[in-house]
Amino acid sequence: MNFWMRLKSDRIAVLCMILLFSVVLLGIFAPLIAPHDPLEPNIKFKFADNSLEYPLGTDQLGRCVLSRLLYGIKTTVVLSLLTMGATLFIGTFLGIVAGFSRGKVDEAIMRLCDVLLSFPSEVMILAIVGMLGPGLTNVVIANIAAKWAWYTRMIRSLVMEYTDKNYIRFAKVAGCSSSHIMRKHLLPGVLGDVIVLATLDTGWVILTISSLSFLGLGVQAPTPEWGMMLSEAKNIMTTHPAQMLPPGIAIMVVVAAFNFLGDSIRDALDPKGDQTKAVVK
Amino acid sequence: MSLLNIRNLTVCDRRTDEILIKDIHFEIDSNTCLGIVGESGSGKSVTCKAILGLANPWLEVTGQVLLEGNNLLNAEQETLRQIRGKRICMILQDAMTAFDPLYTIGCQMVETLCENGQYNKTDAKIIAMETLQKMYIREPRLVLKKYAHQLSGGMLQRCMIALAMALKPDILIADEPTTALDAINQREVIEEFQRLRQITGMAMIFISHDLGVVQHLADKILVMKDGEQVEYGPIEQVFEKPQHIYTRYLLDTRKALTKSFHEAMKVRRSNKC
Amino acid sequence: MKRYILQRVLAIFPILIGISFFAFFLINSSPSDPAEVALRVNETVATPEAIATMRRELGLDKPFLLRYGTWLLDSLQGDFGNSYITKQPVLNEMNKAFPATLALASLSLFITMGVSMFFGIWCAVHEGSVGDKIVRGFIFVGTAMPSFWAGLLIMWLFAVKFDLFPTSGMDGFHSIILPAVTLSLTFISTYIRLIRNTMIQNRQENYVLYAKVRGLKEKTITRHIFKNSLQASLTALGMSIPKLIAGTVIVENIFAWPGIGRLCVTAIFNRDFPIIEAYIVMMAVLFVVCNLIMDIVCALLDPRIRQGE
Ligand SMILES: Nc1ncnc2c1ncn2[C@@H]1O[C@H](COP(=O)(O)OP(=O)(O)OP(=O)(O)O)[C@@H](O)[C@H]1O
Ligand SMILES: [Mg+2]
Repeated sequence: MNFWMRLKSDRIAVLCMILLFSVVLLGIFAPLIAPHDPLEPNIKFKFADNSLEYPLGTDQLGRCVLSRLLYGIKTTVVLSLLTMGATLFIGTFLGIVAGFSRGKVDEAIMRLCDVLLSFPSEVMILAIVGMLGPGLTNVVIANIAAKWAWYTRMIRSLVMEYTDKNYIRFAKVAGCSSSHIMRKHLLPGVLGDVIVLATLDTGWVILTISSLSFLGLGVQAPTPEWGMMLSEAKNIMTTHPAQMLPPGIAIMVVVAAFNFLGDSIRDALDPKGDQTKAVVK
Repeated sequence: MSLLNIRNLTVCDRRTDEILIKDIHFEIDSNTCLGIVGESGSGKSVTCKAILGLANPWLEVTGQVLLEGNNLLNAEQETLRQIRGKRICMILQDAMTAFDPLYTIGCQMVETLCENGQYNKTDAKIIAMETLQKMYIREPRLVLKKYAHQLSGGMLQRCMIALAMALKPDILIADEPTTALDAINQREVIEEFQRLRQITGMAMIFISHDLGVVQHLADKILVMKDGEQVEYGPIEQVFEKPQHIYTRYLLDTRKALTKSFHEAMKVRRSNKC
Repeated sequence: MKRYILQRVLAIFPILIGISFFAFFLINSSPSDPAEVALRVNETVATPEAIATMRRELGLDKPFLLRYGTWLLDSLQGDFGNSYITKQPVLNEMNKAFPATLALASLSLFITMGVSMFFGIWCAVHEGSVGDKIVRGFIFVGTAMPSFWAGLLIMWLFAVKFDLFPTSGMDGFHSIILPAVTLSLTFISTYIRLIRNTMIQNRQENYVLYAKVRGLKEKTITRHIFKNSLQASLTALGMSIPKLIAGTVIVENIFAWPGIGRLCVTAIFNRDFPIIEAYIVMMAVLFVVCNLIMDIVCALLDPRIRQGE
């Protein structure tokens, strides 16, 4: 059974994929779907209950919670995916360069990674946000800066493994250019393992971005973002605790889906581990 | 009624539905020795583990393992625990990983003796030391203080044998107990097994690749191939009139080996002259 | 053993130098000019002359490496400069805030260790039982739940609804409970899973098979498995102590706990660079030192490392 077949036969994995895919679609088409403008206050309808017009009610300024949640997808989920994509791109690029060239370039990249990795990534992110100042862009940069070293190191070792395989040696001997070898042979080989790592990490990125927004270091009001919404809900906790539920549940479900999917992909890539997991069950 | 009676022992891997051993049959009385031979992967170790009820959870064991008429396969965990060590003991094949790396050999021997017999710690220590000495270990006191990674495979194997001797079980299962030993030590240890059997009258299941050793020790022999038992009978009968081609093949290769060995020796001798 | 410890201790110095350089570099490559920031927070108009004076005052006109050298020497003597805002030495500010964070982190570590060891071992021993499944459900929710949300829910339930604990601030033992529990939650799920899975993995090892062959009691075997699993858990624990302290940033802000996490976030808002710098260095040093200590503890537990391979 190959990887896709195995993944498809895993019902939870399929469910997670469908869920995540629809979440992303909802986020992208939020302007078309959302019943209201997420920024439009309506003081008359403060803290409205669920109704047809406001399916999830309204918040302290009378804004539609559902609309804010939908628009929040773009800031939280889509942004996390982009962050992950950028991290992957940088990590893969540098990792392949380092692993393929070896020698001095490799040495330099690896030493830099060593220093970066001697910080816990939470501290690293705080440090970079501290340097650049609060703001969404800076949070994204911080996330990328904190994570790329992990990927570079991982991909480098994967590349080293692959370059020792014969067909790449053959390509080298046959006189293919380095960039050609990288594109045609290395990338496809390394990709599988990287996807697993990335899926597992996306949930983590979502948590960080929303945590920082919650602290006020990320997205600034009034942009709808799930962590931001929770931070607003905190202020009115005593009177309207239900406001904490929609954004919190949204974050949890999406992160859980990413975690599940990551686990499933890992199992599908490594059927032997799958067996022991079946035993553990 | 014999001491241990194995009937239709079958082990199946539930994950892949692969049958690891099929319909193994044998019985063993006290003061006798059964030799099991077979090529690597033929299911010898799996058979032993299944007898003790220690097959991995994903393996399904069916058939009967009768110890004095009681089927061990349906026995309670606690009953099985009482039987292990005290009544049936086993020497594992892989000596290097058999001991817990974080405790000294002495500590592990003493804890075993204390939990299986009525010994207290000091007695257990003395007994451990005595049995190690019997296994030709020169400085038992030092060996007891060592950790598994500080001892050689052969040394560990002898510690395991010594522990089995100290426990004085009714049945001893020895899974290739001499593989890690060099030829001279091998002889000594096998002699010790022989003597042990004569003194204690314990029954023994002796697994080996070496037909010569089995011939020397065993009363009966069981030949396994691909998880099935292809030959089972008294040793003389099997060696003289093997029923199965595989057994014949084994015996022939052995002869051929010894022959070529003798020839090689002859050549060497003539070269020397 | 002594040699091993010495080696490990010596090995951290280059790392520490690298970290300090990195922290210094990070702050100094900030797009905003520290002199300008310092002026702005003092509500002085940032005229070019004022900036120039300030630059000289802060020593910003000297070459980068020289500044790094001075800064490093000063830091080694505990002088991280003065806060732009309060004008107090950074060290004083840190000293004021650190005990609060330390108390919070230690209690939380204590809770984490106690709870996760108990449930981790229990789940491994009763693998597959109903209880195990329930705990695993909780673990799953725990890893996906944002800690600030968990904090809010806990705060609402215990402080607002039942009014058992204060919602925020620090007065008395009472007020530390909720923040500490919140902080533990994320780590507890990770640890239960870690301990449980390592123990289950260890159970398939050969030494466990032999322990069973020897007829040892279930309790003794569990002790063997636990000691062998402890190493993996301890290493992870060492790694997560700084993570725990970094995690206080969120918790301290939710519960208005006056620790260094809160100090740091306030500093970020105020662009109070000396404090941010000191925070980064402190966390990094903590990280390195914790790893070192855990390595040594592991070595003490494991005879293979203890006797130098
Ligand atoms: N725990 C297990 N789970 C699944 N399959 C197993 C397990 N243990 C052994 N096997 C398989 O069962 C077969 C028999 O293995 P076994 O260890 O009994 O061989 P053996 O006769 O002892 O060989 P050797 O002489 O090398 O020790 C092998 O094909 C092996 O792959
Ligand atoms: Mg074997």
